Amino acid sequence: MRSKKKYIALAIVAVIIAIAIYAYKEYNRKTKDINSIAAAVNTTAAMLTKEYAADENLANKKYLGKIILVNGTINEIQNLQDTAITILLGDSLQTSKVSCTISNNNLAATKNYKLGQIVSIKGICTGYLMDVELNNCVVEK
Amino acid sequence: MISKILSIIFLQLFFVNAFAQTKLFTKTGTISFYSKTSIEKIEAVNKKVLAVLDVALNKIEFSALIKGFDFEKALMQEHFNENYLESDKYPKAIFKGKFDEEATLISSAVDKTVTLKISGNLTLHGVTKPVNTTATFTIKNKIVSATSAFTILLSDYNIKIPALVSNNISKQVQIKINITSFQEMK
Repeated sequence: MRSKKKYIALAIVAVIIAIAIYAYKEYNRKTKDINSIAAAVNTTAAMLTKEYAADENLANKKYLGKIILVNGTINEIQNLQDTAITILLGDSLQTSKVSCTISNNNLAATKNYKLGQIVSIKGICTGYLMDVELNNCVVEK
Repeated sequence: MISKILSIIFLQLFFVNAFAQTKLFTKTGTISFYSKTSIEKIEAVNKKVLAVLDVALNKIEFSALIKGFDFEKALMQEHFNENYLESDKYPKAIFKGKFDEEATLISSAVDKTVTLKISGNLTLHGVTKPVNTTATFTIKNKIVSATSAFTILLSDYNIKIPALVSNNISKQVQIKINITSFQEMK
């Protein structure tokens, strides 16, 4: 009888600890690295900017918040204070491009990037301002 | 002599005009916000803010994507997007403002710092409310940079915080805008 109570008490403590660990981990969880996640959509910079320019709402329904793999030509590399690298994919003749903000742990992979090079970059689509914006980008090998 | 004076006047007119037409912009402005209670400190930053400064028309505009705000904690970022700002429905925050004074003070080849009053409207979470603030513009080596800050009430923008966590989240949020350099718009 006593030992049964002891087991129940022990089980309750174990559950409480498990919940506490889960809550603590969940609370401190970092933004996920999308390297290991497959893209929901595979497209080109030209296609993506065209769709956004034509109908932003429609394009948002399709792409907003999704992981997108974009193929395109490097048009510009912006290095903001060495902490944030943004790569613009697209055509010089077009004002609107795909603006890929490279994730912090992927900066090294962009070191040898050159203008005019064709690359594949995966990122989370955050919407459309002057360019189509991709966040947390990683370089697809 | 007269021709000299005339040419100076002409030159000045030309320069004033050239500056008056200036339209400046940046795609890499920063907006950060900060709110604090004794329990929780919430901080986020967006480094891809689009800002357009139209000196001739005395206007300034900002737009930022809600999903572009980075938080240290992923859970906060998810709640911010899914529950509070509903970024799928309202993906953008837009501020449209007018300078109360002549914005031409900004465009000058001379190094200086000017603080200007701005009154405008902020659209956030589908709600548009007036916002009055000041912005400080610094011109150094012909590069224009700017900073501004203002505080908003979450209730003004219909942002509902569940009762369970309402003590952890401040009712007002301080928003800071920082632009390190405007470029000329072609």
